[in-house]
Order: sequence, then C-alpha cells, then structure tokens
Amino acid sequence: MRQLSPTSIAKHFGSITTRMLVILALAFLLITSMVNWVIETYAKPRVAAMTSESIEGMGNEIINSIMASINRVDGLAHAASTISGGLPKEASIYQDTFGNLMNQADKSIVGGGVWFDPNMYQPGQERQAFVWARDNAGIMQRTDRYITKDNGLTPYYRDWWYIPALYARHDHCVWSRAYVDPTTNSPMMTCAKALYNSRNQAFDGVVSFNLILDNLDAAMQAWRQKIGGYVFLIDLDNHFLTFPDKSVITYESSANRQGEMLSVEAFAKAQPRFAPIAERLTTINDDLLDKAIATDESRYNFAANSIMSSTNTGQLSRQESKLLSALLLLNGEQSTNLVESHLLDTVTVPNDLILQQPATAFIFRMPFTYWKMVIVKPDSALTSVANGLSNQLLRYMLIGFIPILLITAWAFRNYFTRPLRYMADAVADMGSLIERKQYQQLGAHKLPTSNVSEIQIISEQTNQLIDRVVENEGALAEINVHLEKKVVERTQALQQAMDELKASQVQLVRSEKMATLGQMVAGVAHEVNTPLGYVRSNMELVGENLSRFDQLTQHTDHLLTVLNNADASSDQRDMAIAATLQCCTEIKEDQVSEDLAGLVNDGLFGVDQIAELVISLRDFSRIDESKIKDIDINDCINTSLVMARNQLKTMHVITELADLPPVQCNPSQINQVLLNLFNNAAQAIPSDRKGQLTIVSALADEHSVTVSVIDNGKGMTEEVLASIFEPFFTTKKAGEGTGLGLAIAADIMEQHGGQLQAQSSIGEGTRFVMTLPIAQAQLPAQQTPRALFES
Amino acid sequence: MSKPKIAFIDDEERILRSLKMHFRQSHDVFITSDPKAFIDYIKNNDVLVVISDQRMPDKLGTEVLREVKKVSPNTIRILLTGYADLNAVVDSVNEGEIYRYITKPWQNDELKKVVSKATEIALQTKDINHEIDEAIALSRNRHILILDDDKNVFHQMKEHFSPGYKVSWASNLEQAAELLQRENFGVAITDVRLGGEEIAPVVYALKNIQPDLMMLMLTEFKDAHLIIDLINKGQIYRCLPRPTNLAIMSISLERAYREHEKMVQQPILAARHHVEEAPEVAGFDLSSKLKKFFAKLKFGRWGRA
Repeated sequence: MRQLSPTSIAKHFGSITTRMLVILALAFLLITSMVNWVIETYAKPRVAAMTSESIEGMGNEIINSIMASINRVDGLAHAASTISGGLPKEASIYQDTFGNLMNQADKSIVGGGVWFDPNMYQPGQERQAFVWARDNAGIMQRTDRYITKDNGLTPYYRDWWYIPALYARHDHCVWSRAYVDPTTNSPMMTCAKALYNSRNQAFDGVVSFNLILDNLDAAMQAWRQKIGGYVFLIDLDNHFLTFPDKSVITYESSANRQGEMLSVEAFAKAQPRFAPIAERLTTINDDLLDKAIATDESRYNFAANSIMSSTNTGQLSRQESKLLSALLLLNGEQSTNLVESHLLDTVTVPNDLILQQPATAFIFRMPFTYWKMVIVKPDSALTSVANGLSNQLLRYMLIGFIPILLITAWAFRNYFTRPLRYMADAVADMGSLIERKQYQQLGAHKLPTSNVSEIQIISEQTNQLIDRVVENEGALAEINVHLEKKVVERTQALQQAMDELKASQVQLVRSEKMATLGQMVAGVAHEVNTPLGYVRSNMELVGENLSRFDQLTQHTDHLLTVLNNADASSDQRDMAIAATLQCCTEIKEDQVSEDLAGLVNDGLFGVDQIAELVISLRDFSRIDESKIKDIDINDCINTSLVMARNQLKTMHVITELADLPPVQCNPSQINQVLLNLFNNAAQAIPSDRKGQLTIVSALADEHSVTVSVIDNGKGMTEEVLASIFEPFFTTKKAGEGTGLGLAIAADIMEQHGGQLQAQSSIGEGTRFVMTLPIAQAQLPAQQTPRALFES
Repeated sequence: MSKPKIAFIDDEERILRSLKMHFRQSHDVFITSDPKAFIDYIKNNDVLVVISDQRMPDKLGTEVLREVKKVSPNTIRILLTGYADLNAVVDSVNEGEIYRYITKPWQNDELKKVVSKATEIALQTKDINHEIDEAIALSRNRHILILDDDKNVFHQMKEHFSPGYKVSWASNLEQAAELLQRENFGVAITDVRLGGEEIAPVVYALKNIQPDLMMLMLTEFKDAHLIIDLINKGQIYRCLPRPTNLAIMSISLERAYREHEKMVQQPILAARHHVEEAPEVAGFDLSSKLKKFFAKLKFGRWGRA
C-alpha cells in the first residue's frame, strides 16, 4: 500500500494541475450552490405559485362545470314555474306539460314536479302535486305518494326544501341540502322554485327538480386523478357532499336509514387533523351570515324566523334556516359570473388526514348554492416541479462537469503544465550543469521558446540569466587564473616584505641599541669630560707651580756654587743666601706646596672618577664575562646609576637597597633595562619641577627579587600605559625614539622568567616594578636568541 | 687699580677650584655652585665676565645666563659645557646672547685668551647705554637682506614686513655681494645653506667685516656643532627653526634691528660682537664661488673705505 506522507500529499496538491482542478471543483460547487439558491429562493415559490394557479384554474373549471348543470336545472325550474303560472288548474294539462318536460329531462334529473300550496289548486284541497320520479329502469313515472295523506310523511308544504322557496325573492331556485333519496337511495338535492299565479301573482306552490349527485362523485374522482391530492364538496350547511372515502362521512340517522352526510364540524371533532379545513369552512359561513345581517337585518331575521317556524320541527336546523335566509337575501343581488374565480381561500394543513403529509387546501365557493369545494394538495406535489427542475439541473450540471473537468485537466496538462514541466526540467539540467561547473555547456541547454507568453517571458529572462552566468563564470575563471598568479606573486612579495621586515626589525633593534648606547656614551663622555677638564687644568697648574721649585733649585744651585767658590765674597754669599731664602719664603707665602697638594689631590680624585666611570662602563657592558652569572642586583643598580649620572644630574636620586641574595641573570641585559628605566624617568620630569628618582630593591619572596623605579614625573594616561610595552609605540617626536626601549626591556624580563610592570598616575609619577626569579628555570644563554635581541 | 671681577658657576667644585687658581692672579675670581649666590654676587658687584656650566642639578646654564643678562646686561656671558646639547646651544643664543660657547675639557691658555679678550671688551663697553635714541632710530630706513634659494620665502617676508622694512633678496652669493656693497643692511636673514652649499664661512666673514650687521639664522636644528661655530665665529644674533613662524620672526627681527641701531649709535659696542679670526685664512676649503664673493666684498669695502 502506498503511504502518503504529508510531504507527498503536499507534493500532489502542489502540482498546478491538481490545484487547477481543485479550483475548478470549488468554482463548480459555488455555481451549483448558487443555482440551488436561486431555485430555492425564486424558482420554487414561483413554480408553487404557478401550480397553485393551475389548481385554481382547475377548481374554477370544476365549479363551472357543476354550475353548468345547476344553471341548467335552475333554467328548467324557471321555465317550468313560468309555464305553470299561466296554466289552468287542470290535471290533464299539468300531466301532459310536465310529463313531457320530465321525460325530456336529462339523466341527472331524477325527479320533480309541481307542488301546490293548500287551497291553491282548488280551494279546500289541502294537497295537490304532479310529481315524477325515475323508476329503477330510469324511466320517468308519475307518483302520487306525496299527495296521499296517510303516507306517513310530513305534509310537503311543511317540508324543509319547500319553505325556503316561499321566501325566495329572486328568480332562481333555492337549492336544498344534499340528501339521500329514500326511493332511489342515491344522493340528490332539490331545486325549489316558487310558483306564482300569472293572473294575481299569488303564491300557488313550488316547482321542484331533483338533481342526482351521483356523477359528482365520479367527477370528483376524475378531477382527483387530474389534480393529484384529493377533492371534496361541501354543501351550504357544511355537510359533506362527496369525500374520497365516503364511509367516514356518512352516518345513519333515525330520519334517514340510508345515511346522512356528516357536517365538517362533526367530522373535525372525530378527526382533529381535519380541523384546519373545518374551521375555515365554518368561518366562511359565519362571514355569509354577517354579510346578510349587514345588508338587511330585519328581512334576514324575518326570513330566518319564518322558515324556521314554517318548517316541520326537526327537519331544519336553526343554522340551516339562517344560512338559507342569508342566501335568499344575498343571491338576489348576485349574478352568475363564469369568469370570476371562485377560489375563496387556501388553508395550510400541517399533516393532512388522507395524504398523511403537509398539504395545502384550496377552498372554492360555488355561487347561488354556496357549496364549497376543497382541493387538498400535498405541499410536496406543489414544489415537486420545482424540486424536479432543480434536481434535474443539478444532475445535468454534475454529468456535464466531469467531462469539463477532464477536458480542462487534459488541456491544462497539454498546453500549460507540460511546457512548464519541460522548462523546469531544462532549468534542472542547467542547475546540475552549474553544480558540476560545466558552464560552457550551458549554452546548449537554453530554454525553448514557448507560445505561452508568460512562460516565454520566463524563458527569455532565464536565458539572459544563463548568458550572464556563462559570461560571468568565464570572466570568473579568467579572474581565478589571474588571481592565482597574483596570489603567487603577492605571496612572493609578502615573503620578500617579511624578509625585509625581519631584516629591518633586526636593524631597528640594532639602532635602538645604538641609540641607547649613544645616549649612554654621550652621558659618560660628559661625565668624563668634567674630571678630565679639571685634571688637565690642574696638571698645567702643577706644572706652573713646579716652576717655582725649579726657581728654588736654581737659587739653591747658585748658593752652592757661591759657597763652594772660595773666591766668592761674603756679599755674594749673603745675596745668594738671601735670594734662596726669599724664594723659599715666597713659595711658602704663596702656599705653593699646599696648592700643589690640592691640585694633585683633586687630580687624583678626578682620575679616580674617570676610573670609576670606566669600571662602571665595563661592569655595565660585561663584555669580557660570561653572559649568565650570579650577581647582586644592587650592583647592577649602582652601575647603571653611574652610567645615567649625566641624565640624572638634575634629579634627586634616592636608593633604598635591601640585602639581596645573588641572582642568576644576564647582568648586561638587566643593566640595559635599568638604564632604560632611569633615562625614561629623567625624561618624564617636567621642566618646572625638581625631579626625584627612587630606586627600591627588595626580596619579594624566597624565589624572587623586585626592583622598583619610581619617578615623580608627568605620569601617563591609561591609553598610553596600555601601549608602552608595544614595539614602536612612542610618545616622543618622530626621529627622537624608536619606540623599542620598553618593548625590549619587557622582553628581557620575560626571558629571565620575570616581568616588568608599570603603574602611573597623571601628574604624580610612574612606578616600574621589575620582578626577577633568583634562580633561572632555564638559562637564557641556552635558549636560541630571539630576533629582537640578536646582538 | 683693582683686578677685574669675574665669576664662575659649576656643580663640580674641583673645576671651580682649578679655574680660580688659573685666574686668581689676573682677576678677582668668584666661584660658587649655587645659582642664587651667583646671581646675588653679580647683582652686587661689577662683574665683567661670567662663565657657567650648562648641566647643573638645580638650574641649567642657559637659565642662569638669561638671569645674568637681566640683572647685568653689560656682563659678558660664556658657557662652559661638557656636552653639545642642541637645545642648550639654541637657548644660549636666543636667550643667553652669549659671547662664547666653550666645550670641556678646555685648554687653559685658550680659555684664558677668551676670558682676557672678554674682560677687555667688557671694560671697554661697561658704561654703554642700552637705551637708544628712538628719534634717530625711527628716522633711518630699515633695510633687511634675505639670503635664500626660495623666492617664496622672500615674497612671504616682503608681504609680512613691508612697509616697515625695505626687503631685498639674494638667491646667490654674487647677488648678495653686490647688494652688500651697494646698500646698508641692518639685519640679514639667512639659511646656513645657499645653492646647496654651506655658507657658514660667509657669515663669519661678514660679521668680521661688518659687526653691526645682525644675523638671523634659519636652520633645521640638526647640527649642534655648526651652531656653536656660528656663535663663536659668527656671533649670530638669533637662531630660528625652519620652517619658521612669522610672528616669532617678527619679534626677533624687531629686536635684531634695535640691536643694530644700538650699535650704529654706539659704535664701541661692535667690540662685543668680536669674533674669532676670519676664516678665509687657511683651514677652510673654500669653493671658488666663496672666494669670488670675498674678493668682491673686500674690494667693495676697501673701495668704499
């Protein structure tokens, strides 16, 4: 099984084709949901409204078709009453006229006749009627059973269908409620029309026609097929005329063994789910009553009361009488209008009794009869068209989408991804070439031209880039070659410079040594010059003074000669003695001997001074001794002080030298360090101050000695102090110092395993401390001399 | 007549003793190691000549001599030192205005000669007035000579010192000789080198011939011995560093001209600028140019005299 790691998913999703398809699918989803939304929001209500309209149209058609037969009966009744009004009250005439009429009447009219009010056919005759009814074969037969007094029936002139016609104030017949004919056993209703005497306009009786309602059921059944859902009819008093399942709406009463139709109210009580329709139907009747009351209350009340009182008890309910009265009152003002819609209202039924689902009831009202027709249609049927439409649309869209998707994917791969992939491969090739530094082959791997403008742009740009890379790399390679050559050259130059530097370093160290030496020699020369000056001068003076003794010797010689000369006179002798004595006295007086002694003493002192300097010079350089020896550092200090005497002449020098054990070191190097420190101290003294140099030697611990050289000079800043041991660092003017003195001094101390430290504060002075180990761990003489101190 | 008074100062008393013994017969010698006592003595006595060491623990010789000059301007000052220290040499000219710079060890008879000559000059000039007649001085035109290779130096000086001074310029010795014959200069400003040649002998000769010509030397301060020679043989008045500062130059020039004026007004003062024998005599390997210069100059002087 192939495992999909997140990266591989990302990789899959990362391909442009996949992305494109996902985008397409998303777009399709969006479009679909929009279509759906439009259907739900606009199309469905619209289609539902259209369905409703078609139902309304059909309902109107049904009503009109029923109305047509009713109108026909109505016309028949009108004609019959008009005819009968003028007929002489003769039985044969009525028999023929009505007999013909009845025989020619269509099948739906199952009976009828002329009923005379008591005493109106003939005075004193209570009952007279010419009545026909169809027999079982459907042929009209005259019957007299209604005239017979003891037929057990209520007299017809007090019957519930008869009375209202008496009160009808219009030319139309009054339709009775539906009932089941006792003889034919079929539901029917009666159209009753008042019969007026054409001579005196007196009420003679009633013309009636019985309309069989059998075909209503069939019609309803037929319509039901056509409309869907179900249809039923309600009469004026809200009793069922038809219902899909008749059994539920009929009941047997004492008056009518065949079964009476239930009222909607009663049915609603038994079946609460029917209530919404029943309630509405009740209010429709209430509205009718209200309207009648509003039109003419007194006439309405009179009619209602009259009908109620005239009719035999129990045959007519109060409600029915009221309705009939209202209808009598209102129908006079009404004319039949076939164009007008008969839809009265629609009622929403949450859960229909028959359909077992949400439904809508369309309630129609028939003119004149005030029957109500209810078409109940399931809501699903109402919206099914719309739903079907949208479902179909979506299905087709789905079916259409897959090929579109495939075609798009294919086109995309072919015309977009493939050039891109091709380019990506080419770029990858270039990358690997660049990786392998085969820049010269890059030219052969240029990107091809593409008819996709964007890709073409990328191609062109990349090709330009590659050109530049090739160009640059070529240049780079060239530069590299040059560079290597240059590096070799430079390395040689550097080596040369290094050699020169080394040489010049040696030169510098040498010149520093020479400078120090020169300074020292100049100082020593001056120091020698001073005693030399007075020794020389004294020697001349000694020479001059000695001439006095020469004089004395001459005088003495002369005296001797005179004394030895026997010929000499005593005067001569006396003169010679006197001259000699005078000379002697003069010498004494002039203190020549004392002068001479002084001169000689001074001269000896001067010579000693010179000797001391020479000895110090020798001690300082130690040129004739081994380099490393055990020596008292105090001797080094004293020797170096003599060497620096001239430089230190203006300074007050204090030495605090402790008894020290011999230290193993190179004395000439230590002297060099000391002299350097003394000279620095002398140079650090500002001209306005009496300089003071303190040199303290001490035993630091059993292993080392320290020598502190302290001056009261200018001092140094911290920056200067930090750099004083660096080679070539100097605060002197260019040409006055090499800047190597202290660097060399520090190095000498390090070579001895010791160190040189400095502390300073501005304006107060500087202290250098030399620390030297008493015994050397490794004799410096055995070390290879470092370049800095090559001698 | 009492012996002329001279005074010595040195930190080495044996030198003092020796010197005293040398001069005690001819002079009234005062010796000390203490600069304060030295100055006190000079203040209170008519000391003709003083001789000072340069390096002493408390004070430098040049400082002592500067004080001597202040308290007793007519006393002739001589520096006796063991070491040719460049700063000391320059200071001795500019601050001490010394008569001679003598290095240790000295020859007694030479020292004696110098001191005797100094004593003689001092005696001659001991009563001279150091004030000058300003009116006369101002009435005279001040004329200076620039001896330099670089014309810019001349232009700079001319710009700076005109119109107080009339400035002439010579870029070689011939021009200089011509100018010196024709004109009367009070001050000459010159480098020790001209046209690539050292012209110290020219300076010595000029001072010999014309003592009232004050010499301002411009030098790069490298050679102490050259300056010592310029003092002893050329009696240069000032020694200035090169490149120089015009403000310092201006002060030096003013002083030099006053000194010249003093000498013109009191010709006896020329004795104080006595120099050692002119160098044209043997010992100097003079270039033909210099010889020509001297010939011309001497002829000119001769002719004028």
